[in-house]
Amino acid sequence: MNFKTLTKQASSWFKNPGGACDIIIGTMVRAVRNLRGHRFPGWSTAEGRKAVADILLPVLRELPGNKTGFEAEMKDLSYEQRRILLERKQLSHCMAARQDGCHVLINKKQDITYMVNEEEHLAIHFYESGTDNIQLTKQIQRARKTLAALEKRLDIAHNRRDGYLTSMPAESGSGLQLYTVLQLPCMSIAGMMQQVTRGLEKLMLNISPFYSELGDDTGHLYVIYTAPLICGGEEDMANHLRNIVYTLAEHEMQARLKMTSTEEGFSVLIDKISRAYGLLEYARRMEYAELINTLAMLRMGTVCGYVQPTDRSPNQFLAEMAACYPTMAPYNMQYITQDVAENCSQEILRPLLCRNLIKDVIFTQNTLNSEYE
Amino acid sequence: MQLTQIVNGEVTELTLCEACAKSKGLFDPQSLSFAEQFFPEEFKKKIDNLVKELVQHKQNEQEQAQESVRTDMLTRCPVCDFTLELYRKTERFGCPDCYSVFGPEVNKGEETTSNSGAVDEVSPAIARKKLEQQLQAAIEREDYETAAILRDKLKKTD
Ligand SMILES: [Zn+2]
Ligand SMILES: [Zn+2]
Repeated sequence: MNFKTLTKQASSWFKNPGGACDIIIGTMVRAVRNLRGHRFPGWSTAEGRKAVADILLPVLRELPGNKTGFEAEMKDLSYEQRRILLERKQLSHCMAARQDGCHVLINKKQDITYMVNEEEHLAIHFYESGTDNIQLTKQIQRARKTLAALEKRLDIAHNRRDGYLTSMPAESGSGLQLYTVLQLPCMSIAGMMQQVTRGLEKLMLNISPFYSELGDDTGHLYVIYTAPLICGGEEDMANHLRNIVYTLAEHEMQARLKMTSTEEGFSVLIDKISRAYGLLEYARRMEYAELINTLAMLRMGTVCGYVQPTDRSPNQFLAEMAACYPTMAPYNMQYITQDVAENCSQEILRPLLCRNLIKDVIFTQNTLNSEYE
Repeated sequence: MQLTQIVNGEVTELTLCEACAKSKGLFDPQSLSFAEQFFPEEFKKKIDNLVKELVQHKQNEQEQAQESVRTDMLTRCPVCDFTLELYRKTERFGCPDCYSVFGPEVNKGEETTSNSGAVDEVSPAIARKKLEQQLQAAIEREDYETAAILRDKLKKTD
């Protein structure tokens, strides 16, 4: 699959597989491994990195879905292509700045990214897009299955005291780390996020904005993640994170109910959702950050029943909106429109393309979705 | 290290210590320019810190080298040339073998560190280097009995 084909398909986190939920966006397991007897990428030379790539690439190419997937050496990717992969959340920031001897592979389904000579010799990201029932322990098993297949054929650095060895000794252990992405619009409107951040710290979890480059709260999207896991504690931590994610989702639902229970709160919420609807209907120019904030409100409005598609299911509409996050992003917009729209800026194109999105979608402030009550 | 290509003028004379630059992840001049494009502010900070550390490091280097002869613990990884000093600065290692070289220095967690049996699979190169240093130390303190034992052990590693 070439780069163009890759960009035509939604990347894993932006697929909406179902479940009337706009809160849990997805999960990711990051797995890292290093080869015995080779310098870590940060202390390596071009030759050293090439030697590592020569060992890893043939083995990675044989994993299911990789032959028909996407593969590139970082030096062959343009600045714009790297940016697009970052927008699609298929590349780590560290990897985006890499060059010679550093390779990226993405499987056909686009739910696994393999990075050779990232911070570690091999970093693998396993993505799963949002569902009502997140399965972090299953995700860990899935990662382990791939890692086991690799370990049969590679001399992986490991010892009994430290577990899997990583370039930072403090991070050695299971070589696994868990991430979840949540959209918490009502909690952030209600000013609860600082409290959440402090709470998570006490629970040994980290939180950072999903679109950190666009500001702290853009799209009300947050990444909540563990430290690299120690050996033996993986399942416990997975259950811990899962519980916390459900608790947060529950709080978000509660916050919405609480807000709609008073006239004042209801007016704030309905105002935001109706303005979002109005923007997509009437805006003539739109920056990416504004679009993301608008979509967050519309997604919430859809789940709450204030925004209703008349010719398709709410889930279908939610999926269409999710697909806009990567496709309407600046570098991707530039990439897909370069041939067709030379004298038309993406600020103008964005609302034009979005107009289709709310075709046959109505806004109503009287109908509370019965499911939601 | 051609740091001069990116940071011009004033830092030219500080481009000597490749090891330090590498430890900061600035191993590749090509990728440096990319890092600059991606994270201009962080990059500036990184360079400023690096310059400071390079100056400091050059001053420390000689003392450090002498110190390393005196102790019988390895301060340089024979497999990848990473040093203990760099670990203290960066909290990183150079290669997987660094774990067995610097392992005793790095107390990971609060667990008992005396289970030396758990640190398995020391590579032959490291074992040899350790013996050589112990032998050197024994000769210096004129402990010829120990020196003889160490020399025999060394012969066996050949
Ligand atoms: Zn140095
Ligand atoms: Zn080493």
